[in-house]
Amino acid sequence: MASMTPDLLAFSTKNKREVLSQEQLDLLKAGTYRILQDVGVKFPSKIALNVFSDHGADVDWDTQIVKLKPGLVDKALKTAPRSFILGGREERFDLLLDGNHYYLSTDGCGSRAIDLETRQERDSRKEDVARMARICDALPLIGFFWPLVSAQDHGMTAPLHECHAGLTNTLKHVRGGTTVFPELAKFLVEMATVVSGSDDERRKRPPICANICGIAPLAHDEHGIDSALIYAEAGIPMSFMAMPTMGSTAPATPWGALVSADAEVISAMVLIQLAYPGAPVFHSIEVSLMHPRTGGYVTSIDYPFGRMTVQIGHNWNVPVLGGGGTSSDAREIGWYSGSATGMGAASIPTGGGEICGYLGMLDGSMLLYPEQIILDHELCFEVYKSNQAIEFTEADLALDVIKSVGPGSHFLREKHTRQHIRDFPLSPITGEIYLGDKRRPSREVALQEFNKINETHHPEPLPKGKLVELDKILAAADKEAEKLQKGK
Amino acid sequence: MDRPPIEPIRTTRKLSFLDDQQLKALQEATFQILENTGVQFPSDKALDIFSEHGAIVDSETKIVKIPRDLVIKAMQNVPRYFTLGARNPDFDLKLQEGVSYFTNDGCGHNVVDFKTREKRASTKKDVGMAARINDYLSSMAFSWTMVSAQDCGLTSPLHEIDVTWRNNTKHYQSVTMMGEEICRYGLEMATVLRGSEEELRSRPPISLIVCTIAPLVQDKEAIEGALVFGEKGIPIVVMSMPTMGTTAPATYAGALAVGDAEVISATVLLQLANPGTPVFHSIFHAWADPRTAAYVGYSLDSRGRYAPVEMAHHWGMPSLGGAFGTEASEPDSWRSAAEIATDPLLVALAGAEIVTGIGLRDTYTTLYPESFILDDDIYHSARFSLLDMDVNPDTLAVDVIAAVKPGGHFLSQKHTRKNMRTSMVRGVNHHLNKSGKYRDPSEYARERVQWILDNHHPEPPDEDVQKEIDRILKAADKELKN
Repeated sequence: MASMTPDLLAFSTKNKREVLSQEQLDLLKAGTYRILQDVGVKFPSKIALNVFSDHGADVDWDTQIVKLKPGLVDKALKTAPRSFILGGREERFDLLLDGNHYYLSTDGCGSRAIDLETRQERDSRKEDVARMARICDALPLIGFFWPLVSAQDHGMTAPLHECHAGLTNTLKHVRGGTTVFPELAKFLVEMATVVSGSDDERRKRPPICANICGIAPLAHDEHGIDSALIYAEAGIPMSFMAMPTMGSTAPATPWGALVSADAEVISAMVLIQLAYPGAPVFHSIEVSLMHPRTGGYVTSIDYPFGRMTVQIGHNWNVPVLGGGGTSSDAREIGWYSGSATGMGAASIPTGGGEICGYLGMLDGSMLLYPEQIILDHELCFEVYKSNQAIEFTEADLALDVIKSVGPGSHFLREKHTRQHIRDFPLSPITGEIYLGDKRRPSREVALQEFNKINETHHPEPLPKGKLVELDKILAAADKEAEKLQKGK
Repeated sequence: MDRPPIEPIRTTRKLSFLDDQQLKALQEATFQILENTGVQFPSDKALDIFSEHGAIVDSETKIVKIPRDLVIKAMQNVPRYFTLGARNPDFDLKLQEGVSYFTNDGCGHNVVDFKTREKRASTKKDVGMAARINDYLSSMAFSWTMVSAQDCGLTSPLHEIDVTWRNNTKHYQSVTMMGEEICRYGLEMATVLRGSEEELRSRPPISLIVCTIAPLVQDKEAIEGALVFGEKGIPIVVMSMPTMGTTAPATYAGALAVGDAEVISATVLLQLANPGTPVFHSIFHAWADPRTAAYVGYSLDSRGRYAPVEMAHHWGMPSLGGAFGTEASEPDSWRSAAEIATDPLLVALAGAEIVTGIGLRDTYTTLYPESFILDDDIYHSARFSLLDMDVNPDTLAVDVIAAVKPGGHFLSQKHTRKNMRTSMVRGVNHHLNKSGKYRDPSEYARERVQWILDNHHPEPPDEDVQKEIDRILKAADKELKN
């Protein structure tokens, strides 16, 4: 018998706090217009260049740089929807991106994993993606499953296998699409159609979305853009994510990095809206820093980038992937990862981003420790509870009980105490009852919790017919990949 | 040597955990508890003051019932904002909206020796060490008694003042002073330090915390000590620590109501005795584990942690907010960071004027000196996340972006060289070893403590002042230890 997937818990936006003034947002937007008009963005895709050219953009066919006038940008973005649905297998797992809720996502997409059995670090595999999808299915705060690691045991079709592992192991929305060879993108659309049941249903409640990354500064990837156009035609929502690194691929000031990244994201959104007006898109910027001494990649920066990127995206009137997040550069589970997770979780209610959180990864989103998802979820749950209204009635004030106990006594024998003492959830991780002098390390308890879910949680499978269909699509995609490989 | 300035958390943003109706309901509950149930004051001095002002005093049970009108009348005198003076006037703290001043945790009784790494009872020397580290750190706006001077017996609170002033130039809030005699000696020391009673009153270099005994009891020594401080207009924190299920009802609202009634009853007394006495409101609630009855400081549902700040403000009082205080017994485990990492951001957004908690482990009892540095890092991360932004043409760098062009890089830009070292605020996690890998933050923190202890030597009180303080200490030792 299949396990019950718990209902989704979404953060409310009641405690959202802006960090940027409208004046600052306008200044940044003016910078983005200026970059798009005077500097331009590189689109190494003939299809994209044709779309831009047809709509009157200034296209340099040699350099493949496109310059966009503010009027064209505004006209195109007017058709981008502010609100749309990311579908789950059941409607109770649908995510309505309307600015009134925040849904937590897993982090992605890493390349290494700590093996659950040997505890050795190794390349990530499809089995890791499938297992994590099943674990996330049991965690109520996770609404958006982004494969945390790549299925490196599947070569060129790895993204399709990651999507398959997600769709077959969780009832929640799966970020199944990404940059692939355009010849393979259609297979992802087919998989989504099989899960949805029809083209119409796929468009109404798409079970997958895609993420397309730019190449900072101000360039796009050919396959990424061509895949995006295929997803857009099928009504599959997608986020465009810019990942500027201050000092190397972006100016070394936060604002310079943000304006450059915004121009990258907006240029792609304009393309999609010109080609398929009304296609659902969301905005995403992840800023990092080049370490001044080593040139290393630093993601844990003491600057409220998350909250700023949310406001920047919303200022274009589109939903946002970003905001508070728990991921860090920590290499292992310890003080560093704990402080980063805690502070990241604390910023979720104030920061927003329709999709945010990024749970489950370490080492700059590259390394999967299985138990990290349990630790991250635990802290996010604490923050989720803190974000909820305190409700009480006169009975909760217990004035009669206080009077009957009186000064200097205790409440141990009161019926009121017996009724309510178990109302407060103690953390399964840090609230563990222990014998002897020492508590077990939180990491050990989290691993135990992970193993328990792994052994016992088996969500409702897809109908057998759909599973067979998905296998056929994967087989066809693998065959196509072989052809592409030979043709390289 | 130069020391960093104090860097409090400043924010114009605010979070609410209770609505107006709930705040009124909680206040109404306090009125009812004070009027119908009463609070025990086992102090004849306190009972006399209440009696003189028309409260209902039961001299046998020592329970005082305070009519609503008397509470309202007394509470009208509590100042909303005031100044906490420091030895160094640059470190005077003017309480104001939108600014949260933090300090270290207290008051522990164990220290993991910085050299031997052995756990042992804390001493006067440890108090001095903590005060010196506090003095150097910009996260520390004032100083708390971090551990107790257990080698000084009954007069340890006075020795803690002495060794703190020798090592720290910020405001000192004593967590351990109790009883009329000790407090009078403490005030004498503060008067000597300040030079006159007028100066003491206008820029008090010291303040006091007194704890209540839940449910609804005041401690004789604590309350009589507070009355002594009140005579001189010295700030007092009244702190309640109800535990749900044992010393308080097992509901949030009930525990907050008990805690509030305790704090307000003491505040009323202080106002009746000396109208205008500056008082902070503080409630630190906890849970009794339903299975073991053990003290649990952090539940998964910690909504009530920051609610007392709003209750204080509803009474027109400043608040001492609770933060940090992990139950982890290690200095640098996942738990020791994760459990507290949400605190500084949320307590500052709740609007607490002063906040405690940095640096101890094992539920306020154990000092690992390096924990100071680790918690300081969490504090600053919260502070940075609430700082205002600087957007101008130079930081936007549109011209630099145009010069680099799509697909280029920023490595050779003058703008990059100018800004890249300030873009990265290096936290304890960002320090590199010789091979360019990040160092263990705990190892770095220990090194930092050693550097502070080797290099930071705050100016001690003037020689004449110190002589006088020594004389007072000697007299106190002679009188009180015998």
